[in-house]
Amino acid sequence: MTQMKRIFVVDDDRQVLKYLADLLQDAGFDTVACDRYQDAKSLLAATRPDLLLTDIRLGAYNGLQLGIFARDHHPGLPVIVLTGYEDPTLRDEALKSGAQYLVKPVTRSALIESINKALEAADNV
Amino acid sequence: MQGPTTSMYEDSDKLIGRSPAISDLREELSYAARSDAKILITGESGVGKEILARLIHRHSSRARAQLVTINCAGLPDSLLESELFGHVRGSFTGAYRDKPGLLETAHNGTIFMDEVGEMSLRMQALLLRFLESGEIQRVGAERAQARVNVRVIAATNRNLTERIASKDFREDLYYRLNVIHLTVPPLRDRREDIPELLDHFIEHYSQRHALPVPRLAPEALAQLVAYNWPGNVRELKNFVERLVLRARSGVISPTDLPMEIIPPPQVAVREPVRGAAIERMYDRMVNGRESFWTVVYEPFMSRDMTRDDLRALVSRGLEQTRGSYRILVQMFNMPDGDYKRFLNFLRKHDCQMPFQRFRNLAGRGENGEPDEAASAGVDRRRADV
Repeated sequence: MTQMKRIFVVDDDRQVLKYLADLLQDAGFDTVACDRYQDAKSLLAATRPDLLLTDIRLGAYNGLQLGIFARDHHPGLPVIVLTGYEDPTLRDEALKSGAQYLVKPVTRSALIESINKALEAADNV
Repeated sequence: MQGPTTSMYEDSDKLIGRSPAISDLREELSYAARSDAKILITGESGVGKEILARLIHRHSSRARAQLVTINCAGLPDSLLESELFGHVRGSFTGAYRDKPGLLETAHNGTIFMDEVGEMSLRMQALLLRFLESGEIQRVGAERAQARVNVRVIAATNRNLTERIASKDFREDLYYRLNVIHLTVPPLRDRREDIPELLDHFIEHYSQRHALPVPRLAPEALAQLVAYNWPGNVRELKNFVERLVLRARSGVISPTDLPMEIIPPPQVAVREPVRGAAIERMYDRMVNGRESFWTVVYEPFMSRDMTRDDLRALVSRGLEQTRGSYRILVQMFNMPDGDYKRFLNFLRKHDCQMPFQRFRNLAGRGENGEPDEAASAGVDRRRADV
């Protein structure tokens, strides 16, 4: 059995968070779920995930900020930012920070596919 | 209002203090400076939002270009617009020649927009358009004349989410400005930094005014630490300058302090509620990076903590790790090798929570709901325990 990939999921809406984590667990991923920007920063270091999946809205914080933090502190960690709406300015910010920008609604299979692709790309570095 | 800032390397441009809040801010600041994302700084007046902006600019890849500062409060729209975007000759009475705006001056650099929460909806729309296109259209001009590359750092002492709710601030603008959010805590929330700040400014003003450095008597210091500083560091700084100028002897005693700095009435310390205590322990482990063995084990063994408390804490953690005790060990800052010891401890005290409760496997067997993308052969029900 190959080592399970660990996905770090962040969303300040606990229901959405649970939904995402359930979905990922069903898809065979190990998951850590977190609902606060501040906690997420510390937990990233403690739990050493293979990918960060975060909603763009985290209370007063922006999911991109977590992505930027991750790029700085955990280089090579793939980051996917989920957002409720297309916004060229934010898409641009995401790309600049090296994160993938995924607009909801996204189907379960499209999400898993994006995750697998990002994980593969990270493995090949 | 200030024009282009020239005093970029003021002595006061540093964060003083060792409180957790300031250490955290220092860390946020360093990665914020390394990125090129837009920043929103929030905090009460006088906490030092502009200093933060200067530090970010100075440590960013834009440090060689200009940092320009504009205060968006108290300026009529037309003036603010022409300050930001510039104007062409004849566009209004007194516009004798073409004038570039601050955004053009800041090309390849940074603009610090203070009190951005005070902008009118019309100005917000103009700023939004600029953020989208990077284009500048001077007041009175027929079309956009330049595209500029400027990093925007905005600041406000307002609660913007409230302003959004009351429709005084555009939500789309908020999300674009707030890519990186830095919060500067009020001074009363980091009292442990007050002595160092006092020392710093006493030294600074004694030097500036060529006066001997006065010493604070311990009782005076205690009163200053207890004072609430509604005007934050700015108030403290101004206060120290007056103090240094007035100090007659080498020692400042409580009688030398102004009337408003009187000791606050003693308030009885409330017993913290259970939930809050558990939340604090959780925080010490997760954010304070202290180990479970120090934070929880010791109070539990000395009976300062009940089994229910321990169960609540473990559940809180398992909720986040989705039932995984292995991740919980990492989250609670124990070495991976402590896994067995940790589980034995919980089992012995009847505090091991069934991990299934934190997963959504109820009613699903191996052949449960198929998922096309699940990697074949991976056992979803990997037994952790």
